[in-house]
Amino acid sequence: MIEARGVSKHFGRRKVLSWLDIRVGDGEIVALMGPNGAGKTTLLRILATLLEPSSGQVIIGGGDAREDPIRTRRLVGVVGHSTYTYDDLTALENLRFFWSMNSMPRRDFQRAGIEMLRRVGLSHRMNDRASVFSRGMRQRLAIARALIHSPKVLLLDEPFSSLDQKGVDILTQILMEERSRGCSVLIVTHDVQRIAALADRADILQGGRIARSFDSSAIRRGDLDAGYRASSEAGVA
Amino acid sequence: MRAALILATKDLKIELRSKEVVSSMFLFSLLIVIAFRFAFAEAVDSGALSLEDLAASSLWICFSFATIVGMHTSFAKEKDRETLEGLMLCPVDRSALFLGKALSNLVLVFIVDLLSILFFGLFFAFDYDGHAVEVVGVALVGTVTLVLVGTLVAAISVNARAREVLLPILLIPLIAFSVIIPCVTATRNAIAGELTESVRDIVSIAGFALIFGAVGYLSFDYVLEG
Repeated sequence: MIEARGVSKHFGRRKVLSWLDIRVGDGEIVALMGPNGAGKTTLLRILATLLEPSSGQVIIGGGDAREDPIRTRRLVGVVGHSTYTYDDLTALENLRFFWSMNSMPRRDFQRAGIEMLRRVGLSHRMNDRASVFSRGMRQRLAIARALIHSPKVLLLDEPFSSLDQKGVDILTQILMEERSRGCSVLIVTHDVQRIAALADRADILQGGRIARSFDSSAIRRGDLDAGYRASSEAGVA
Repeated sequence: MRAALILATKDLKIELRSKEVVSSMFLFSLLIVIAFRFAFAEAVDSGALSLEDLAASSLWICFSFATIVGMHTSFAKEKDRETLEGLMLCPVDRSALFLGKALSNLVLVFIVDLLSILFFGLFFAFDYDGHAVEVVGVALVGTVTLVLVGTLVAAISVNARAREVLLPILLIPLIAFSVIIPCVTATRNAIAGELTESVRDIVSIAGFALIFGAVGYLSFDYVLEG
């Protein structure tokens, strides 16, 4: 479960988030949308403990993220703008490094690592260095890295970017599997079409807080498309 | 401690494959020894300059350069390749990241130390008067201190815009009087077989290592967040 209560964040005098509340339940996929510069990535970084909020409270998996950041990081898997993987290590070595850094038992890695690479469609390239991977393959490796320790919470920032159709299908399948496993998923995206088939709810971030929410039936009715367009135009204006 | 070892192993494995840092540190050291060989050969032969003094000073120039080059890339590479945040997302104490980086830096710099000691011996046909082990011991103590200070300063400067300039500006004043000068003295005494005269120097260097190790260990959370 992800919960932000009254979260504000300002950089100097610029206020990015203002008394923001958001909640993602267990087994729920929520899309976070909004115009450029709305603070979506900032919110994700706060939830991932990479940034401290100026005020407010973040609850991850039932515990306060600020009080016990190490526990929080153990519960969270993050796919960010960067892949966080090492070019000079093979796909399997990259996963082994993050597996070990998450204090997972060493003896279980070989099976879990190969299985994870199979899930993202990279098992045939497990002994290749990440430096020879295409951008899309690196993104798939980043998804595997985020999932390798079976997190309870997934925070994804534009995860579909640079993925080809096969990659999009793989990620969609993984997200549905993670949802059925009870994982809370928050996805920052601009892709209304892709998220329509996947999300249980879409929240639009505007003016530093959640301006509108669309439940799954509203998303499927097409209300999200119109609502998101309106917020983007307001953001540009 | 396990996380520190995992991080250090990862860094060393990457370095073993890319050889980016060791090769530049190694070439710096080789260049210094060769330059000293040609610049001071006559002075040494005529007895105007003692080989012990030359060895002590030139070796510590090599070690210092190696440290600065090594420290500079330590965090900068993680930052430039956008993997630093990946490390910060790992559920480990930040102090483990400090220890892991310091450990991998120590291994790399100490390899260059050993090569520099070997090159100086070869180029000057010098056997350190039979005290090479003591010279290596002083190099190890000094390098541990340099690396602990350097790792902390490298982490502080990694987010700065002019970090290439900032690192030596912060590091050199810190190490010049507290580490380099006592180490040069201790190395000279080690070659002369009088290392016991440098016990106070070595204790002060080790004390400095302890202080900076503790500061780095305890403050690394704030350093990385900064």
